[in-house]
Amino acid sequence: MNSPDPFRDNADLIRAFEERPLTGGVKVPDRVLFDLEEARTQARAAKQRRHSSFHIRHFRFLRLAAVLALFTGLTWLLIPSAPATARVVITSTGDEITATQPTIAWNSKDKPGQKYDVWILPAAGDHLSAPALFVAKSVTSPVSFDQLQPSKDHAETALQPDTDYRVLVCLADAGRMAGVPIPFKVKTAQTR
Amino acid sequence: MNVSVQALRTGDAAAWSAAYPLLWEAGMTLARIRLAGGRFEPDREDLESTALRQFMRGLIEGKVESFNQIATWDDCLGMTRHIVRSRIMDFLRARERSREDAVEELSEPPPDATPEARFNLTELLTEVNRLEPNPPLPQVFRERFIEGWSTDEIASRRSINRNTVLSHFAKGFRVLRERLTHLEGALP
Repeated sequence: MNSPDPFRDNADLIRAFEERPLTGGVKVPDRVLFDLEEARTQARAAKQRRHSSFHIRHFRFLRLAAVLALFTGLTWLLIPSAPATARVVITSTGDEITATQPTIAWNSKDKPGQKYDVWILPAAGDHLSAPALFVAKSVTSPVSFDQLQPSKDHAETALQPDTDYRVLVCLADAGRMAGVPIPFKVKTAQTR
Repeated sequence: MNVSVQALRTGDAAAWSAAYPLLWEAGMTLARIRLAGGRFEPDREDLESTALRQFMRGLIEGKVESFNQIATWDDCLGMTRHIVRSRIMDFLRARERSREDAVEELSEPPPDATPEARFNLTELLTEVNRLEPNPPLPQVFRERFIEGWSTDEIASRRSINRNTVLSHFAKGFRVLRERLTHLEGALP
């Protein structure tokens, strides 16, 4: 026959005994205090190691980000950028003209007083190397035809009817690379 | 008693020095009931020391969510008691101790229940003192649940049969429950 078990049936009452208010008058054995202090020191060290590893991980991330930023910056500096243009919009001559001595005009957003070089080029050929037919240096818009100087190898003083040309306007002394040639055609008189 | 939980979390030496005696008392009070008997005094100290170190590591290192949820000093006491209970259960299972001495099969209350909400300790102790003095129920209750003597030790000290002591407890608990329930029922 099993003996009576009054404890199991009265667990709630026993818990009241177990969790009674503290007096604060109980002394912790010195041996236990020593062990507890040692454990506290170790726990703090472990926590600091965890925090250190946390910072190290984040420092590595920051270092990686800095390297990427530096690489991006250097790449941006090393990649050749497009040459500066005169930001010129040619308003004259237009696509087709009848005048053989046209006035050449353009708009730009450059600073006031900015000087430009103007070339009239043949329709064919690389605009960087094609022989210029007429040239005007350090001029501002508009440029009348008499300001354009024929090149040494070009004896004509006017454009030829029924001929295609290109006009190129660039910042003064920046070379032909600094602009985009615009084609135009001089019509013959009969086509008017 | 107000010990800063935040200071304990940082491992502050002063905060822990203030907490050691209280945590020790809370755990030892429980251990003397669940692991009663003079011959278990060294085991109680070892279990208690291990439990406190476990609590300390959990709170300071903060790697376990249940420790991170500790917000008040009462939570600290509750967690310490929980760890002590668990370690005593493990110890008893290992030793295959008899349940009467160890109270090892006490059912765990639901997490949100507190003994104070069910039974007022002041009333309980008052009623213990009012138990029938012959047989000496107040004395055996104090010896078992305050002083930490085992049932066997109480029987030996009083030169009575162990089952007689158990029957005293059964009778005392029955009376205590009736009176406390009556007191609670009389409350407005």
